[in-house]
Amino acid sequence: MNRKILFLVVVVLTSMTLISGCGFKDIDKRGFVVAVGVDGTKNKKKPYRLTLKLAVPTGTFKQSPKPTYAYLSIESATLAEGIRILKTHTDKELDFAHAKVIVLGESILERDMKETFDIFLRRRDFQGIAWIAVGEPSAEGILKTNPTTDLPGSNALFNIFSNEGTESAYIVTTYLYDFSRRLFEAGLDPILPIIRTTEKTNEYRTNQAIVFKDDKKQLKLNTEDTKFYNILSENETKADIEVSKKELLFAIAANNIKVNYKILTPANKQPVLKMNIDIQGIVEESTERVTPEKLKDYSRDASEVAQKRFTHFLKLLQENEVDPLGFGLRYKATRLHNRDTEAEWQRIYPQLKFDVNAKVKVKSPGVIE
Amino acid sequence: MQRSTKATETIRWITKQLKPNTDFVEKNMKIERKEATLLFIKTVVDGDQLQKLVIKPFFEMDSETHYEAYLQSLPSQQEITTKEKLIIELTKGSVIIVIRGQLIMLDVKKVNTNNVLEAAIETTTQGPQYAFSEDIQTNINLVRQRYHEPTLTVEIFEVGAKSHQALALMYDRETVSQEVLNKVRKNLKELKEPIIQSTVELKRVMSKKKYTLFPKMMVTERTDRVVYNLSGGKVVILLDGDPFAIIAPCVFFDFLSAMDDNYYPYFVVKFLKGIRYLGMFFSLVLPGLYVAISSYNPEIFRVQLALSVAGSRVGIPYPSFIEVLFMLLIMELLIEASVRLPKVISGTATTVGGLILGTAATEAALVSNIMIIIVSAVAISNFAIPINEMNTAVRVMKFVLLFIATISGIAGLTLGLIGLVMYLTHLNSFGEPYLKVFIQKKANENEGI
Repeated sequence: MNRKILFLVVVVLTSMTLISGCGFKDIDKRGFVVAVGVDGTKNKKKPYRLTLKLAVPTGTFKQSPKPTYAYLSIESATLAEGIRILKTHTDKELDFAHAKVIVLGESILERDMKETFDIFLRRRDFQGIAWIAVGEPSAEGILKTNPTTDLPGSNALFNIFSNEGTESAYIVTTYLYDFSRRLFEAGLDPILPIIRTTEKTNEYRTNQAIVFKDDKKQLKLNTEDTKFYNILSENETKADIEVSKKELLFAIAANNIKVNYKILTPANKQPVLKMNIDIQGIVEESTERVTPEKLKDYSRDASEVAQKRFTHFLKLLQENEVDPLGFGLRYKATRLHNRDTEAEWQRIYPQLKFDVNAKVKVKSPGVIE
Repeated sequence: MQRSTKATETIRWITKQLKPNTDFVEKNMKIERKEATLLFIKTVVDGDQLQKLVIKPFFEMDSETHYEAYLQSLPSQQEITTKEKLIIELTKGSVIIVIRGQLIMLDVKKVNTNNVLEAAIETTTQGPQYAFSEDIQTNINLVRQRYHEPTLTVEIFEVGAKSHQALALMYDRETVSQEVLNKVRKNLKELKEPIIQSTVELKRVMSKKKYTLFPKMMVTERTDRVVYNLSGGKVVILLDGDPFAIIAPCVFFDFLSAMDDNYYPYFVVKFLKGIRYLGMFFSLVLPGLYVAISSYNPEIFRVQLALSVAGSRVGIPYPSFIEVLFMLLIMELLIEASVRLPKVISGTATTVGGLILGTAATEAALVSNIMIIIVSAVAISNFAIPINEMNTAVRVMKFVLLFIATISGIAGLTLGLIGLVMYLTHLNSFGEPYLKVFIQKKANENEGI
């Protein structure tokens, strides 16, 4: 091999050390942060309370059947400063590569979300696919709760939000990238799931959600409304619908839900949002014997109920002037844009009429007789 | 009588050259009016044949003329060109008969290496089980027996300035690429080595370049592979005294094909090939990947895996690349040792090395459990590569990739792989691009297009 080639090889190899990015750091010298919690404090000088949940690596399952976590908390003026100082509280290099859950405490919701959230959008080691949630009563409390079903190596919060673990129509999942989009986009408002935990119970309850307009306007969705949001946003195609009519009480397990809508603004008339909801499902539970002949009646009853409830839910959003389903975005996207489009929609939305056409089709009584 | 004086002179010269050898024999046969002289080296000629072909007829024939005519008609008679050639042939096992002042040379060599061996390196489950022998005549016979095509051509060369070994160049006149054939011929004629002991050595000296890693000619012991490649228009080189054949030209993908690929059903073959390529890829990148991911980019792991890798590294004193290097070296030593060891002991070596050392190393917290898994995966997947030379090339190459991964993480590893592909693209085997993919119909391939 002549000298020139040898020289080239050496140059290439040395220049390669420059592309390595963050340097060589062994995996056991890193502290993996699995969740980040942000709470607000009353202290004006140090308004943030940052909590990090670190997974402590353990050997095999046999050696440690329960996961062990370490917690780091600090109050600081900015989150960046908090992270820097927390690095001095531990011997490991903090690694946010696996910080897939960011929990915001209730106390921080009153503040400007764009300001609080800036670091998560800016810092490169926070991933766009991290899930955002609101913690009740505090983010720290949520992080420090370890459900009994939690196994080493897995994390209960990850299981809740990903479809690997539990799947439910009541859980809203919001990714960081989606949240930031919703924060800055007019006509699509951010929605976050609420994780609740109590002093006594050692478990999470994630069946509510909260919608923001800005730091002033917020709407908490109850469990039922959270489900309606999930159905209408087509996040979840499996849900259940309870119908009670006189004596009869039955539940339908819907496994195929299709939603489409159109915003019509006829001249000199009230603007209308026409929504078609197609739901197919089977009877899951009933107080009386269900025969195949009755399925038509069931479908009709369920359609009526669904129509009423969905209209009610949409009106609830309208009254609170929030728009998590992105009607405003749809309006903007389907109209010729001019500088007044935004203002137009602000005028239209409060007087929008909802024309919901829900069609529930009960396909089977659920049992073979 | 001119002829006779010349013959006497030659014989005197030969005798002088070979006299110090105790096994050199010069024998006079004389009965009634018949007379002949035999010259041969006792240890390389077949005594039975000599007796049957040369000595017995001499006493049975009526006259010298008859005997000479008989000798001239024997198929094993060799052409006499120069004095030097005569001596070389004598050392190879020929006998020189002087009769009526004339020299006749006959080939009566004794070959102890013509046993056909069972395939030991490229074994196959279902397919021909016997490979080549160490004798070139037998080997040519084996190929001819499998390829009855009149266009099959055998050219005999001689290599080794001292060993004067026979070398057979075989090809199918109809399908061979003339360009490749000329290159091979030229290459063979330019060889200057005094002794060439094995086909692999021949291959190395043929490639001329000093710094090489990837094989450009294939060395195989399988007769079916040789025949398959002959029909595909390739050139086959057989060397006397070695049970391997060289096939040229060869591209990268040839080294990952086993003869089984021609025998099994379609989907089985696709699956087996897939596994083989996967094995090669694993054994190339796995060590580097481990270092790159665990020390530079742990976000590529899932959380669970990241934590369990971190957990398994608890208490390990050295950084990941030393851990990998240590285990890989032990593994390479183990492989090297089991090649050199007698077959009886190699089993013990594997047990001690693989099982006991592996377990003890983890117990002593020198290496992590996951490291052991990776090293064994690398070792096993490496053996999935069917041709030994590609196998060893990959074994060396993985250290290069490990080094690059150690200094620059996953980005470096990716660049290293791209670099490897670029290097392979730049290679060629007798003019054929090394990474050429022969995507064409089987029929065309067999015609050597």
